[in-house]
Amino acid sequence: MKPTGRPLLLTNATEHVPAWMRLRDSVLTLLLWFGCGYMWLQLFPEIERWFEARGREDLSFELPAIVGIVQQGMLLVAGLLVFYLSWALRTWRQTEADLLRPAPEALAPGEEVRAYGLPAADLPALRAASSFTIETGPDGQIGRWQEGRGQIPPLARP
Amino acid sequence: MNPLLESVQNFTFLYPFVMAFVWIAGGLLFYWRRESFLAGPDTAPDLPSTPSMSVLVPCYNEEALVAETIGELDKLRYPDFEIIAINDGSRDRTGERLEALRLQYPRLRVVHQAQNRGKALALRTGALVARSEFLVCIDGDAILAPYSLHWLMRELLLRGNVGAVTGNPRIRNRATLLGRLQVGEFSSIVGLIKRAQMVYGRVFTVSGVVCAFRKRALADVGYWDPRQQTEDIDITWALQLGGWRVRYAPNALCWILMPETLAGLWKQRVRWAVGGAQVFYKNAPRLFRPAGFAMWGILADYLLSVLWALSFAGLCALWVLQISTGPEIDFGLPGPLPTLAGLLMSGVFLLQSVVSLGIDRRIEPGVLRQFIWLIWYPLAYWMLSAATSVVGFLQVTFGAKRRAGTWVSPDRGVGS
Repeated sequence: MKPTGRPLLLTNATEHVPAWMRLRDSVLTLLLWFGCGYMWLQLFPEIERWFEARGREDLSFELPAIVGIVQQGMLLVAGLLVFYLSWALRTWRQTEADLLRPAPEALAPGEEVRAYGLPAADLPALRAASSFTIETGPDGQIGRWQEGRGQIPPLARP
Repeated sequence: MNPLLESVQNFTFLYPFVMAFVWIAGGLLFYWRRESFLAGPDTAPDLPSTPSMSVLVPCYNEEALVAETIGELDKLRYPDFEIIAINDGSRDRTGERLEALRLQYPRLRVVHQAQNRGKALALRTGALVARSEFLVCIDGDAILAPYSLHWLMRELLLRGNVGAVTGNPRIRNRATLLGRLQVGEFSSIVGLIKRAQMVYGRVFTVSGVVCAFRKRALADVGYWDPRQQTEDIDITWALQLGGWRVRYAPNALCWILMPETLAGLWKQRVRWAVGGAQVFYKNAPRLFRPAGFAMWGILADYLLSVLWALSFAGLCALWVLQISTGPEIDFGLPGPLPTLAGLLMSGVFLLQSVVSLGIDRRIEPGVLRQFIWLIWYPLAYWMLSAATSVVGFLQVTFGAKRRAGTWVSPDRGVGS
């Protein structure tokens, strides 16, 4: 394991990745870009022919199925954006109004310990300790605790 | 082709296509309204006061990395904070390491849980012993940026109804293709979607690796639920359904390590998918009450993403069946997606990535360089995402995994 002392960003240089791995990643990525680029370029003549056919009102030209779906998609995008932006406007008004809300009061010790099944009197000692061992039930209720690290002896409670 | 199959195929194309534009619009709006005027993350914002904060660091078997995390926490510039490390019954030497660190860093307090109870209960215990009303939760292998506490506190102080603030996780490990892909993912997908969700006021989840809470809000909703696999998604929904607001602080940076093996990534993503499904089933009845209506945008987005994963996986299965058998089985599928759709979808995804990386340049100059690797994302990552969503959702739906949340330590990159 490499524990501490590493730089924040772990790169090829800091992790000493083998040159063949770097080369493999770069070559495969470039190939993928070229492959995709080639296929994208093939789309243009198709789209050009479609526009030409539209210009001639040539109904015999078969519309690529995807064009119809994209048209539906753009209609959906427009509809959804109108809904989304109206909701956003409503939210902005609310968040501006929220700026005036006062901060709620902090929890009182009695309220805090209620969920843990711990006597409120234990809380100051628990918060004063810098190291302790605690026994927590599967439901989050605190059984016992003691200062320091170690096994909790049966029924021990400071 | 069968009309039903054709509709399913069109949906697998339309969902990511349409949502990409919504996320781009939302991300840009958030940037314009809330982010563009902010100073950089390496400066402190003006705060009306600096109340004390408690940083909770739940640890399970973190002996290798916890010293670095605590050491970096001690360097934070916030004037008043304590660090509480919760050793959740670790089986390695985490306990000893923490005790030694306590002597080195006076602001560190250490809680040893007698038994391993999972992250949710570790956080719950930490919340009780914390002296402050404001809690920040980070993982035992994460590194907070020097002014992160300031930026988290800024959001908590601005509005009295903010119950939680989610920070901005940034990926440290960039030595492998998987690591670099996740840098792009956290920008193009996670960051952009969080910004877009903030525009309509509700978020799907805080980032469990860096988030802040108001203790009163946590007490209000009964703290973290130990029965959930992903305590961060659960607490986010509980707070929002309880009337509290969740905010996003893009300047609160937290540097994290992510899996760099396919097996590690698979485990992590299945756990996320299981957690999302658990939260959905737990909260579904509450969404039909008046307080739940505002969550319907999030709900719709979640359900559509699961439906997309199921549709995509189903179409892939049918297509593989079709090409691996003879002409007697023919569904008329030229591929899992409509013809040419894959090219268009990847084009739209790359547009989304450029926008989000462009937004993220404010936070991390030079991040746009990661764009080159994102060509892999539509090819490999969408399949992984679809597969993990299907597995996770089905596991929860059919009850095989309704067990309590436990610690699952992913691999932390090639160096670990």
